[in-house]
Amino acid sequence: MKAIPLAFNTLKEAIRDKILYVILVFALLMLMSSILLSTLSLSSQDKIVMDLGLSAISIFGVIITVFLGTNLLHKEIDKKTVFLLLPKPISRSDFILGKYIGMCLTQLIITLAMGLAFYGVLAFVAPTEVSGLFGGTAQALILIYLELMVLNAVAVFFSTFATPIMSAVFTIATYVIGHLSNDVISFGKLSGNPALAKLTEGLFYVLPDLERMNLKNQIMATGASSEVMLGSIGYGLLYAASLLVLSILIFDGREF
Amino acid sequence: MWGKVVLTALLCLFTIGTHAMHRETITAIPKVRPDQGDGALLLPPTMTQIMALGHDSLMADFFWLYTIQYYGDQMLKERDPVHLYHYFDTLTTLDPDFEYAYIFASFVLSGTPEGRAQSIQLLNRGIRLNPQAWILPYQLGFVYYIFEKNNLAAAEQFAKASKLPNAASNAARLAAKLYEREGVDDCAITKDLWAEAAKSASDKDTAVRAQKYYIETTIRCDLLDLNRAVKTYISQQQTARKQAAAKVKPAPGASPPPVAVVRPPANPQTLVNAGVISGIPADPLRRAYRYDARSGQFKAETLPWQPYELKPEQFAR
Repeated sequence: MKAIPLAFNTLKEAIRDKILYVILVFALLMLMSSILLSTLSLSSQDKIVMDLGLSAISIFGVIITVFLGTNLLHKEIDKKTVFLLLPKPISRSDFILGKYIGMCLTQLIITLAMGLAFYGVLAFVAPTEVSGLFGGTAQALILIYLELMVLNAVAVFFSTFATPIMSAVFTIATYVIGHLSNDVISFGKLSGNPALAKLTEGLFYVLPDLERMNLKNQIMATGASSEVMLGSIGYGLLYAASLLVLSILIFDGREF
Repeated sequence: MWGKVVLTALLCLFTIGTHAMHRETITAIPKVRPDQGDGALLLPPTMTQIMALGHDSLMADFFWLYTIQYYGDQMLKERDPVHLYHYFDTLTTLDPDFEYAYIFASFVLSGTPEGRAQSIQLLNRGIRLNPQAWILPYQLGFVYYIFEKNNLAAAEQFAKASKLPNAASNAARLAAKLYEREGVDDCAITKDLWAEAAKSASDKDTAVRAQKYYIETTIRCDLLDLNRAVKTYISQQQTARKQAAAKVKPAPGASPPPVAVVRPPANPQTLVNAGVISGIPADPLRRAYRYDARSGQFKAETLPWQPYELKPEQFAR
């Protein structure tokens, strides 16, 4: 598999971009905000730290995806390094896959590190409850990472044919619509127009339903069943795979 | 080099100076009137939820912090926190599992009749969305008891709370006491609640006390049933004798013979033979109830902790 060395190369590039400093910022932010909020809030300090931590991991992850993922292919094309790579016995699909896997590896390291910082803060704020909260928060972290994997695929897909700025705009738009997927259907139904209702329903199936991977509330309150978890994981992986195949198709037809 | 340093320092000083002047101006001419500032976050809850983009819980936390600051601020200024319900409505829409928000809302809203209706509405929604959270019906019972003075509604909520997992041991006790106070003669509920209180008691002392109440309630209920059965027996016998007397035609000019007064049954078994009761219960300590054939009253044996006897007025129920 020739994509693997490319993946590690992408990871090295990301490290060279000093993207991992984000983790340090995150850890400091989390620590400071938890101490501040515990004095501001009336009870529920651990809840606030959990919500803030999980949301911060998700938001930081999305920011990294948008800025790193949308530049990934463009940088290679702009610096003309792609011309050195493609004549070698590396297929275009390997190139896209390698870039994608490298991005996912970077995200994995960042999510794991931010997760560790998050558990550290949680242990500091609620030392007696941290073990009881581990299962639910770990499930939520897995789904956050899965959402980032889908968004990575979205960023790679857009960057195969659009400029970095346009790719970033499209990826952010996909993130926003992905979280409003259920509302899109509701708006269509509310309009009373059958054609519009059909169109919104079609959009619902085409666009990524990121709310399926956003089970933070449900997991923290009652826990998610294995069916729901596996369903969400399966959906996320299939969606990312479909986008990657589509990206490969577009990249294959591109002329340099 | 030093010229550049001095220039930078001067520029910084000027920047800070203009900023300070600007701040003075803002303070002198407030752009937001105090009464307008209160409703800064007054968007419909569903709109706020859409804007949260999946980070509903985090948004709810920000609303929570804003709400407690707003409430405290309004209290300090001795003003009515008119938007409080809206904030609680929004934050519980964003995070329906935020149990403490419902509880806090019920405390701060229940001061006025309108606020009480709102807090009851919020708590009922919380109960619907968190059916396993015992604290919510417990708190609703508290609102009914303290603010609404509705003991029966409070007892119902405490009873509901006592049946939920990890419920506080006093939920069942409070329900049983309030049912008793309201004169609700529902032995099954009261017995059940005391049994629940004894089972869920956190300490031995509470468990013993709840057990005592359970035994007392069981005995009270058994005695009520048995004494009612005696009355039913007497009434049945009286009717039968009257019907028998009516069939006998008195001699012309003679007055009908008087119907003999029915005496209470000679022993408890007579009640069973007459079909008034299916069997004679024993008390929870497996001892038979004492029966006084002269008065037709059942009494309980002395309990281990203190002599126990029902008062006559309790038989009248």
